[in-house]
Amino acid sequence: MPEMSSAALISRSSQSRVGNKAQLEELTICCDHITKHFGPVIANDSVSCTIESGGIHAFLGENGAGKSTLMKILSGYYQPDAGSIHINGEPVSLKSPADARRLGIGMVHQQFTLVPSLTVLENILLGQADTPMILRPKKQAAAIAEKAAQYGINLDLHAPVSRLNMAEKQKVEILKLLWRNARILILDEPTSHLAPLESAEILSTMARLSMSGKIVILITHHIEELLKFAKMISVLRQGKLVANFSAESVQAEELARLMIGESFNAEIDGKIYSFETENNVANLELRGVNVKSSPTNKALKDLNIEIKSGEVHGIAGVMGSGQDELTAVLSGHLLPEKGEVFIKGQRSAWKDLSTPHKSVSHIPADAKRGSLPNLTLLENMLLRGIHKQELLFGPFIKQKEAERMTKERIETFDVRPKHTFALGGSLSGGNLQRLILAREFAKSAPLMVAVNPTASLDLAMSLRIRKDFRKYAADGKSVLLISPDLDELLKTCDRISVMFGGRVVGTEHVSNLNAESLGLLMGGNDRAAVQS
Amino acid sequence: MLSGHWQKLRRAGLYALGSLFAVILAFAITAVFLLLVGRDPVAVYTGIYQGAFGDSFSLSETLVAATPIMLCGLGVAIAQWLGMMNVGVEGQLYLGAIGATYVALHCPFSQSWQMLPLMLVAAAVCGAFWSFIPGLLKVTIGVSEVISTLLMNYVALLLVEFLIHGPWEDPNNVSWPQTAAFPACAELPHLFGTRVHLGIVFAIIIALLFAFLLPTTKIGFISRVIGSNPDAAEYAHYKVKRYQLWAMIISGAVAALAGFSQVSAIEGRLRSGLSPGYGYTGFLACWLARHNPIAVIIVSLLIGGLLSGADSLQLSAKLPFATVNILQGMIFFCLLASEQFINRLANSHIVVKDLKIENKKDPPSTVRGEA
Amino acid sequence: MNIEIGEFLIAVSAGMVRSATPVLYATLGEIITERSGILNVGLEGIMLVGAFTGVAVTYNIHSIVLGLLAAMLVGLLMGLFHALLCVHFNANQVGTGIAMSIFGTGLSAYLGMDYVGKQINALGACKIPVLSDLPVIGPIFFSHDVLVYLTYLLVPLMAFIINRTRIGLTLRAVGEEPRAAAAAGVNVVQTRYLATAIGAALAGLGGAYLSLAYAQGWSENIAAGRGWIAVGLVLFASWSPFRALIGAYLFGGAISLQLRLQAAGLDVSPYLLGMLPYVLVIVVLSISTWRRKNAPSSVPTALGLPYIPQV
Repeated sequence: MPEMSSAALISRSSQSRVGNKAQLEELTICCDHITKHFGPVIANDSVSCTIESGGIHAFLGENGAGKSTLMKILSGYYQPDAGSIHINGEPVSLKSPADARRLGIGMVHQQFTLVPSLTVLENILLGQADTPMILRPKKQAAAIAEKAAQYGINLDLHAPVSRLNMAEKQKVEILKLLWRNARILILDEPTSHLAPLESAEILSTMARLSMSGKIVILITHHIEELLKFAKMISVLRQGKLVANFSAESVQAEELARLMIGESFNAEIDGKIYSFETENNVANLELRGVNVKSSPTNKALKDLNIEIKSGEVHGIAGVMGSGQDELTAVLSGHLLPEKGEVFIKGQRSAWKDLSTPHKSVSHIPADAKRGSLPNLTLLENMLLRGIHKQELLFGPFIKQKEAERMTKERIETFDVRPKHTFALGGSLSGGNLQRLILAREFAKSAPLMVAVNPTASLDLAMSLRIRKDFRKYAADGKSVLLISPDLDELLKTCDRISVMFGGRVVGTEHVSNLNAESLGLLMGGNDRAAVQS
Repeated sequence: MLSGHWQKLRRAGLYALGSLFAVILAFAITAVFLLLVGRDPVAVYTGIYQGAFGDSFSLSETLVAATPIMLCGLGVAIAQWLGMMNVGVEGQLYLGAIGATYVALHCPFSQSWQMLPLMLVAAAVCGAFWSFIPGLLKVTIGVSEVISTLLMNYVALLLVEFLIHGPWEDPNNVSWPQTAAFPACAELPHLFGTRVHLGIVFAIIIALLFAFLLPTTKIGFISRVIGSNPDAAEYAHYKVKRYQLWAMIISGAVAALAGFSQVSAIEGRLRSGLSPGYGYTGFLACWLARHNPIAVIIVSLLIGGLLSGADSLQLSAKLPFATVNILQGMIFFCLLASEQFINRLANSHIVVKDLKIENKKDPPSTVRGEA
Repeated sequence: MNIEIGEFLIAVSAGMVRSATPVLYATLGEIITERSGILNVGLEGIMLVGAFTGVAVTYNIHSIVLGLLAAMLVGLLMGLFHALLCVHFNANQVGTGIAMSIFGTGLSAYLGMDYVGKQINALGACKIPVLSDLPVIGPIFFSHDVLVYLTYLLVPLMAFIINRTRIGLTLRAVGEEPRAAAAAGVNVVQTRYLATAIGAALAGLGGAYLSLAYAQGWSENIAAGRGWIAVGLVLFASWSPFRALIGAYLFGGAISLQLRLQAAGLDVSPYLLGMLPYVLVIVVLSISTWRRKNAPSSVPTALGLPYIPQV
């Protein structure tokens, strides 16, 4: 083994000698008064900044602050209305992603651009001009493995991408760029689906890359993370660059204030509030639930969970720890092989969970699954209420009653546009989510299961929705909040259960938890070990 | 701001306009084709018009031709509302004809009021059976209903051939492949002393019934949800598969009525050339009507005119019937190609307004959603 | 007696290979098309127009080669048209396919009227020396025409191209995750156009084989549902060329058996026997779908979905 790595080192140093000139020279990319409009909306308003190699450069901003637009301009997806881009002082023209690729600019999108059925190797070779016509997996894998080792990336090149976890997929994306000799790497929210340990690994790899002469640009809204790993930080708000400074000279609170603007107040960063719910009765309890594994998902193994009345109960865990199965079981879409369910202390039949009027309120991870884009808001509201007797007259729907109810809910939850005949598909992400929320609130089930409900929303809207959850629980009902965002869990929930390998490995009151201890639990560490 | 009802009307108007545009474009393209093969398109089209709507006789023939198209089109629509693509209405039509023929030839009734309802039921059951098979394969195993319904069309045709060449062969006329003539009581009543028959009344009643029930009832609502987003229907714990299977069954039964009324009112016996592709034409009619039952009736009338017009032209100007198929294919192409633009137009007004509202709050999310 | 049965089986098998060939071409073509994410269920229409074109060109120019090429060219154009509707107009792909079938049926029937019953120089058999003298295998596989032999090469070649070359990699990626492929620098639109055009050209060739070699003349609706059967066989074959060969031979076997049984004077209505291939395809398709129900699916993920470029 030692010989191997030294051989790799030799080949690497011989290579870097050739490319030494480029690496020794500082690489800089300059945005000069970049402006981009979408119709009446200004996404980038005369943004100027200089990005250098030798440390991660982070762009911070809320959803819609214009950071994605700026990055898409840098990687050739959009053309700016005004302004110019220079690399090492030379003006460059980025008319298409292909232009950007040619100049060595590569972007890792938040939504991975990998083909799941292909192997890692095939994904890397795909679309490459110098991939030979006839594939020779062994030979090409060797070359790629060498490159990966050079940057400390460890991957099974012959595994199909569908079998990789999120962190590994992220590495494939990065390796793809490195194999194309990208020198400017842009990462859009690379850690949003990762556990803290995985995030740290990816970010330190990126930091290493940036020290070896590449430019690494990180887009994020995760303040803690970038204070730890970034060298430079630029803050965007409403399309404008509002600040630009080195990471050492700044505090988290100041960054949050810059990012959000005047509307910032302590409440946004703070915890909303939480009850002592230890003595409340359980609204829903699962005992010894088992779900057989399918090729792609891990199973549930003897899962026990108790959700008390009046609490917002969080579920944390690395993706694929069984959250999807738990959701499916609770929402009545998956019948477990074994196990019992108790609703309000009464042992109940599993099929109750899949009976329309007895099932739990459910906010699905994908809003498309919970809404009807081609039908009206009225019909969207009826989706879950159609079995209610007060809306029916024999086989007929009471139109007036349904319309009155819809208007009332749209009003209460401030869904826009406000008329009942608008199509579901015409709503923006935030409004669609609130429409679903309004409907599920009205369903009034003892338990609401919400999966990643604020993923696509900006901070203000997220906060509003989190408060809605508290309101729901305040009525003696409960909310089960499943979210990869530990920050959200810690600020919204009363108790948090951590899932690992298909079971709940621990349930704690939030006052006993912080992001680090949660992260350790998520990695499968013993609770006692964490506490000590 | 337009009120909700106006928006619905506007959308419907745009869809109608889109269909009209597609039809006109298809006629124009077919005109070029006719010129290329040395025909005068103006003469052909005026000939078709004369043959379709020129006088009361041609008008009645148009209604006769439109009837099976209406029933087939409604059959397609019923399945389509629940997201099932029933391309097998042609076969279901033939099965309906077989069922009706069995009763007509084998039941010793002499009264119409006994004979006709039984024929109708037999036809509906046979047609429903024919669409039940692909429906069942789809909801239980997941076999593409497009393929299975289509292949079953060929089986149905062969079944008819088998019957009229074999067990049901006309004993008095062995050289001609058809069954014996039906007894008089098996003839569906005609209207106004023309060849127009009760079938068209069935079609209109069925269309009105569905047009009324679909938006007003719970079952109608559930059906529309399943058709519009089956994932959401699963999410809301609707019994998607059961509904879809029933939709296929009813779809086949309605299409079978076309076969029943053709053998009973028009042919008076079962023979192989019963349908010059009414099933496929019905499929086109349904798509042109965008699955709206009332629109299916109207579109079918127009296509019926096209068929009967072309039919009379076939005799007078020796224009082969295949021209109609070409024209139908063309209409379908133009319709599909225009769909995207129409949808965009129909929803444009809402998107723009939403964007204005969002302008203040989270602009790029709207932009991204649109792009 | 045994010799008779043996001869019968050999005759059925030889007929199977011949009957399978037109469907096999169409199926292979559709595999290419569907691998790119485009669903072309209009094969029936394309085969019919191909069959007519082959006869018309061969009759007028007296060249079978040109007839075959013309059929492929016409198929190619129809494929391009399908791709135009699906890729640029985001049309419903099943709808477009059905329209293509209605249109193709009409067009071939119209133009083919004058060619019904016309004598043409059909594509003759050309025994492969040595191989055709082998017992059993010789008469079954090596006593046919050139286009049959071509399938023996085409099947492994296609499997190789799909699985082991850059072209195949691109094709698979475009059918699975067009956005990912585009992000990697693949031209999705171009790939889909090409795959649809080539697939349709093969369907056109299959149609031409039907009229120029198999039936040796034009008759209306000569494809008799083979286009639809090919679409079904692609599902059966789960997009693999080798399994397509098996599927096509099953279908061909059913056709051949039915014809031979009739010729042998079996007392069953030819119409009932004629149902056999269609029923067989439905049954086989159901069984294979059912068996794969819980296995990871091999359907190209983006099949039938419009591709809207990411910005």
